[in-house]
Amino acid sequence: MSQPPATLAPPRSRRLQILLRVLAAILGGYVFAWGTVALATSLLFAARLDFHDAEFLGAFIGLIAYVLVFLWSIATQRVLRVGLVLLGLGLPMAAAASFVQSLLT
Amino acid sequence: MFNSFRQAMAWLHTWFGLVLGFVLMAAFFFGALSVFDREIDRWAIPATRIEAQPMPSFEHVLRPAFERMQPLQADIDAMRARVNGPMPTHFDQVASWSAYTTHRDPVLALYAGYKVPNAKDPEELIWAYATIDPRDGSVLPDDRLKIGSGFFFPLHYGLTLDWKNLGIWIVGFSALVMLAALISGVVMHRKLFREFFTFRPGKARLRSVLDLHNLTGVVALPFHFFFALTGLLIFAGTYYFPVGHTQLHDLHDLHERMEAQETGLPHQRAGVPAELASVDAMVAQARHRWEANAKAGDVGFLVVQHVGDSNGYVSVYRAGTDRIALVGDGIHFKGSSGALIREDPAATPVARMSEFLTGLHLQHFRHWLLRWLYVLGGLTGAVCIATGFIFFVEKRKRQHALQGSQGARIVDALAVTTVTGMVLATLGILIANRLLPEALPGRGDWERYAFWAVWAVALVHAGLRGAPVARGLANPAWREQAWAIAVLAVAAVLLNWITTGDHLLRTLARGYWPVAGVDLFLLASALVAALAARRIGARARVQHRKTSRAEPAHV
Repeated sequence: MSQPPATLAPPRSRRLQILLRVLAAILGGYVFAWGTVALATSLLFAARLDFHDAEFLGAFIGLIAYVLVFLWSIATQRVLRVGLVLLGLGLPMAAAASFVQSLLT
Repeated sequence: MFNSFRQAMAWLHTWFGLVLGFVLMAAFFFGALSVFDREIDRWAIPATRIEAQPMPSFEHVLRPAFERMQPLQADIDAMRARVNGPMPTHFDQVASWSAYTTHRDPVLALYAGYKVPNAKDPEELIWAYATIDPRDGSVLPDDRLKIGSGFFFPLHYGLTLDWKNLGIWIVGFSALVMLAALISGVVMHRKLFREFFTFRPGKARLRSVLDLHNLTGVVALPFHFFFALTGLLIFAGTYYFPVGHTQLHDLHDLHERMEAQETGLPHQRAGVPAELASVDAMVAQARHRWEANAKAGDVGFLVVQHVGDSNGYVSVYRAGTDRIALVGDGIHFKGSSGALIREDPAATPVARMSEFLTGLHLQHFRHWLLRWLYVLGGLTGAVCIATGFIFFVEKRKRQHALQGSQGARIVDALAVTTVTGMVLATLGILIANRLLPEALPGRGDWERYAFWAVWAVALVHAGLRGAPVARGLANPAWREQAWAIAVLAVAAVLLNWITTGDHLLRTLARGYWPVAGVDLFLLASALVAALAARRIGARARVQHRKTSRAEPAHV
């Protein structure tokens, strides 16, 4: 599915495109970042880091990840893929974090 | 959607920058003012214009003050719904007493947390707050608005929109976009090194505005990047990604149990009454131990946990004035005997990184030059965003004029409101602070209303005067509001003199920099605003002559 040049796209569909893309970048990006923070925190804690150290590093990694996927979401061609990739990775990462937690407690 | 990566980055930079730039301006500007929040507090509360004081004696000053404290009636009423049965009239079981000060605080903030009998959540405490004069323990009015630390500071990270922490989320999202905008800005230009040295004020308007935008962007790039990032990190665990309080709550609990075992600091009361040994002796011992580790310094934070119980303990934390990293170096003593329980171990590498990054943002260090560089960095950020707005408008306004679009006019009016309007609102709250009657009930609220009212007037004024922008010309509101800044800033200095007697000659002669500094800064702002207003006026006259000469050709 190749996109027509932006200037030729009819304004309404372009506006919808932009709205979807911005929503995908913000919300999808947040789910992805949450998954990253949770998984990184739980794994670092499992690796015997102090909880607050793990939490801090997890947040650090998650924030950098959020910025990068945010940029990618705006720049990449297909908006559907953005949503699928971000949720498809973010949710399993969050689930994995809960699993790691269940092993430790 | 976009043909190239650079085009996508340009779109993101332009539109996210435009929408959230208004928030970022406020974060940068009020963040820059917060560097001197304690000094602005002194200006705003004349009764506290005394020299900064160290942590006073616990036995002589703090304990009597703590014992007089009780929660406010309003807080008791607010808590009523979360308690089974009636609320007590007097709270006697003290969960903790704490006192906090910095090397810039002449007054001392006290906090007391009390157990609430029959609270639905047995962990929930009710809090009492007090502000005292550390020299004699006398209570200072606690209801005065600390305009620096109690208004500008929360404004810079939460816009004072407290409902569901909405403001904190808006500022946080803006900070994220700021990081994205910095990266996309670098991608857009690529000639990073050249931009350090490129400013062509004589060139066409558009070119010099863009030069200034790029220059302020790259000169302070590490500053902008790290402040957005550390700001996000400081709140990440509490607000943005609270995994430890939600999804990974069980892990957090596990950690707390392990920590309580390891530190030997009791989590709960024992239920056995006990007297408190001399806290001053414990503080003296703590200072001795710091000195032995080449970390001499004052006490910043003092906590007494489980007051009156045999499990009670006293924690003494250092005020980290000698380094950037925000360090506690806590030392803990058994309350009933004064015996040492534990000295916080040396920080892990990750904790050192965390202490450094948060300390970098929160600046507890004692270094005035570095403090001023922070202000400069914050204002540079504000200039970068403001020139971004101006570039947006200048680039489009002629085209919009031809199309009959109001877009450039609206953005220009919002830009006036966020640049000069924000300064006017700041002056508005300072002037209201000096003009409102001392005994006015809810005085702090009126000061806040003055702030928002002035800002709203600036918005209306910028909107009403903006018609020329839709014709491709400049908005006279820029010049008019710059003149208003010059007048109000001088007025604030004069009002400070009239209402308190502290004119510049006196504060400078006394060397009382908190108030002298605020006054000098106000006068400097007035000068800059007046010069800017004159220049804009001169340019507008040139423009006017040009267009009136060109006019006949149009018709």
